Amino acid sequence: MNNQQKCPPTEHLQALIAGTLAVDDETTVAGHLANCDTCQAQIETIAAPAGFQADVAQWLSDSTDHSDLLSNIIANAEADIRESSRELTMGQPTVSVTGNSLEDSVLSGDSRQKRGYADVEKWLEVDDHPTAVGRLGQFRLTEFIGRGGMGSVFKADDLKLQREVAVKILSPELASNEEACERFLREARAIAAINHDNIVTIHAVGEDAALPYFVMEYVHGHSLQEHLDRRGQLRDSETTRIARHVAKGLAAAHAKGIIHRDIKPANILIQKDSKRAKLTDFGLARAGGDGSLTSAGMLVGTPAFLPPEALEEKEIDERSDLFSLGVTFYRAVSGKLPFEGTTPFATMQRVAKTEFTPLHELVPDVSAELCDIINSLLQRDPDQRIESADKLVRWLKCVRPEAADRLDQELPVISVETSSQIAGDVVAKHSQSDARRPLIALASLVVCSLLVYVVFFRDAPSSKEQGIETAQDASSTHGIDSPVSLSVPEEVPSDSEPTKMAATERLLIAEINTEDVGDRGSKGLKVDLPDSGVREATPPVGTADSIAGVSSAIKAFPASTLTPKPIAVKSKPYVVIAEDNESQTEFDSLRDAILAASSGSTIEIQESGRHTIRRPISLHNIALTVAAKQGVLPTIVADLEDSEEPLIRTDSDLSLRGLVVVAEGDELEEDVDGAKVGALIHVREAMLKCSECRFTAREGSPIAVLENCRSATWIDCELYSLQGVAIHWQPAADGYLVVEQCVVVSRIFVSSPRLPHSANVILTANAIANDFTFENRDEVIDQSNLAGNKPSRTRLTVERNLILSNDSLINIEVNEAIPVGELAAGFQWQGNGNTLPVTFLFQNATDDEDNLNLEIDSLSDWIKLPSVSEVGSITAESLESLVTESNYEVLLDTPQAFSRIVGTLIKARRLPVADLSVEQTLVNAGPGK
Amino acid sequence: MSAHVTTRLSLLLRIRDSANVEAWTRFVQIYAPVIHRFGIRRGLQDADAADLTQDVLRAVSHSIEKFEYDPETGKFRCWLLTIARYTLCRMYQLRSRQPTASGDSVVKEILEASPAYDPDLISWDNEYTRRTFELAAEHVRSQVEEVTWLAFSKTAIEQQDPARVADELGIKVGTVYVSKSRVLARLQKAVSEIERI
Repeated sequence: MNNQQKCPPTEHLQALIAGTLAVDDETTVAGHLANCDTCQAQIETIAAPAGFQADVAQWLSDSTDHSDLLSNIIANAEADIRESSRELTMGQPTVSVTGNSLEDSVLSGDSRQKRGYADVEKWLEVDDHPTAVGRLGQFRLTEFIGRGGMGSVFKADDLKLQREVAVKILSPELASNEEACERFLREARAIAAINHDNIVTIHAVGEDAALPYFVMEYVHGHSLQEHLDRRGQLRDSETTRIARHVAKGLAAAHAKGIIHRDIKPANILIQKDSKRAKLTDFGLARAGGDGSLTSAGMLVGTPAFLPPEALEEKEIDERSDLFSLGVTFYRAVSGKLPFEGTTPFATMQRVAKTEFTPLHELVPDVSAELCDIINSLLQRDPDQRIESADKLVRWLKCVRPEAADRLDQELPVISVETSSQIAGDVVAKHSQSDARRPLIALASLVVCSLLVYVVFFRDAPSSKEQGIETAQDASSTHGIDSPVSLSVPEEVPSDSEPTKMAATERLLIAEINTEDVGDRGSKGLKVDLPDSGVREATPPVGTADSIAGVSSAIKAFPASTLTPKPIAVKSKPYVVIAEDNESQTEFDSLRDAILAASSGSTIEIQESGRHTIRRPISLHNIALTVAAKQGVLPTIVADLEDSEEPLIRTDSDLSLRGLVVVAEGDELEEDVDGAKVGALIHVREAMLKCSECRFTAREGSPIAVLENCRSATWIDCELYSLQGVAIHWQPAADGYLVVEQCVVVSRIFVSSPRLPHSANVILTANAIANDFTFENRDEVIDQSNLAGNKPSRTRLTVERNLILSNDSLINIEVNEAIPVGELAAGFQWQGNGNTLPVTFLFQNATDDEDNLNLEIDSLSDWIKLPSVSEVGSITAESLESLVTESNYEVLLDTPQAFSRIVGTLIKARRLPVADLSVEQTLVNAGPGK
Repeated sequence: MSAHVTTRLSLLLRIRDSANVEAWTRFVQIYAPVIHRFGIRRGLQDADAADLTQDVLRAVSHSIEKFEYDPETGKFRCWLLTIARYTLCRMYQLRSRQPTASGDSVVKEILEASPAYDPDLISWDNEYTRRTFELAAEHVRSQVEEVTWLAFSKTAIEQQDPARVADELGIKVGTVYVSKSRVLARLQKAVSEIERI
């Protein structure tokens, strides 16, 4: 080639590449390059190391143009990453990709089952029986059911015991793994340790066959997952029922320190006949303290149901199960998972964020209480969740689905819309005392209080500020403001003259009569208000989904009917009236008035509104009556902060009338001796009489502790004590506890009388929304005394009560080993006309393993006890059959059903005792009648 | 160019700080096409490969903090490959609904696969290298005159005769050589920069 020009120096070539060569030189060198092989090679070597050009040729030669596709991928991925980086910045968790949990999640229940049992098959013995798929010792396997956590489950016949069982066999691939074996057998031991109706029973553990296995109760029925697959979603009442069962089972497991770790619909079995839900597949369970069996970083569980803390690899505890339960309930109610992604990772990402579509957006008519319970379970922070399965059970008891039940559609209905503010008043105190779960507190109390308000709707708002707005506005939002329906069966006689309800002046629903308003022959109600005359029931407003028939809403009660007549604000609204009625002294502080009063005098409060007391009051040898002046509704607020002292402690007779008494403050640490601290009233060796009062205790604390009391009477009162005890009565000799025409949203707790005393408990015409507890404690039961011939006598008279407890109404708890018969002999029972089966539970708290000596859950069982002298008409067979069927749940769980009974109760209050016919009402209220 | 380019610690450290969106973006730019091609190579359609890519990147975004960089025993891309293969298996299972092996064994197989004998890993590394070159090329191309780029690509990649290329592009032959060298130099610098991040 042309070599006429001298090759340029290396620096020139370098400068040429860098573009720093002078323009003239550049032209010269470029011209030279065109012809000089040496320089061509050299400049390339300077530009890039040897071989780089070959790499370029290799990697870039067949590079096809993916640019469109790639830019899409990149754009999407970048968006993803940006999102996740935002999350991560906010301290969100990350997820390990190791472990077989992803695998689990990928394989839905279906594909798992399709995988079949081929792996197990060759390990089974041959069984020639036509129905057999194989044999394992004494068990003839008849059907492959599916795969659980660690193995295959078969339906089987136990040839020795001749019964149907389920056998779970460890996967062969895991059988060689010692750790897996241990975990598998751990499951068996874990379940076996719990003996509970809502947990699948384990019969035996077998290590004698080729593969480890265990034998379980065979549950006829389907898993909740199958139910949901078929039906999409469940009605609130069903969800609530299942939830209650599962929560109970879980509480039992937790009590043994066992965490399930894989709660999901597939692990909840529903027995066909009893409709009982049972928890199964503790395959991932482990006893609380033993963390050795899951290797670090391994995620166990099913992503959509995993709590965020599992993704964060934080400590898993009982509350983690509650989260999974929340997901399960959400799924059941809405048909959708709260956290769902197209991939397990996406799912977990959602879980980690813990954001989900509010339940009521998916299911507008979901029961507000259920909704709030689920929300509370789905809290990201375990501390924010309902703290235990035990508590969950209690919360669930308060759920009354608001969705109209078909059963009620044919019945005439009147809906009385209550202002939310009244209920709110009661409830607000609770929500304050439980800032962590305001909604829950609100919800459950509202359920109870709202409903019972219909019955005993007589109180004006408790302070002047609380005028009543039109219920139309108030009821437009979801939840607490929803109207309460009060339905009355057609059998209510159509009186020609309005019948006055026996009640106080403040009774709101003063007169009720019936008249035709619908064009379908159904009946509506007309309500007469004291001041405003007759209001016509408005035409039906129900949608197809709401209550059909005559759904008449009485829109609003005018404020004037509820607000107490304005009273001039007095500078000294507390008047002490001496016993002889001769002297009156005015005070400007209630506390001063009380402390200044002499024994036997009455303190009259002459002003409505809040009267706050910040220090406990202790009375000694001063019998007192504290009452509201006619037409005045004062609210006494006990604002004692953390004091465990009662608001009023007295050793003398005390009488309260016409007061609203509300405790403020957080729940107190529970007294070891039972929740007896922080009461509103503590009476010792004296008498208490309360009428026309409403009490709201702080959560976990009782309303009244009555120590060695001769007599305690509650008439026409409302007692709200969430998670606590309304009345804690320790009777004096032959003492009387009378609760009449009261609303009790709590428990009544009676300590066993001191021997050889006897006690009388009389509950008449109350609405009781919890259980009544009768307790025998060891310190008062003396066995030597029992051995004598004179056991204590306790007479229980429970008549005409509307009882809303689904659990046993009366728990009898004994801390000493006393034969049940002997104990039962100490009770004399008289039940009559109660609107629910009154159930009983004998518990022996000393027997660790099997603390239920005897469970009596129907009145007919109760008859079998030697001392039951009389059983009321409630045992009518019709009722018996009504309540033993699943109708029972429906009947109780809808506000309509409840209000129907309430309607009866209202009616009952107007009628002589003898006329009450509860059975008829209940039967008529049943389906298809 | 070694097929086993060790992923630089710096990028890993930077994407661990996941607030560093830029690093993530960079990461995605490098690896998304690698994963995508891996999917294509394993018989996926384009759209499926795109799905695979997104799933894998998502997984990485959640897992990167768990990844302990150890130059002796583990390489980032090896780990990434594990995730990609895992995700691919899952995809097959989801689609076919006929899982071929038990989950445990799949996971085990994946986790225990030794990188040294892994044909996948070699092609995986190749794809990575290809991607670094692609990125570098994109970068350089955007910085030079199109004619410069063409002079380079026709000679260096398509191996055409410089004189013909000069003719075709209407430039001097010497300019073709200069262009080629300039681009090569920049490309080399860009590749090593990408490898360094």
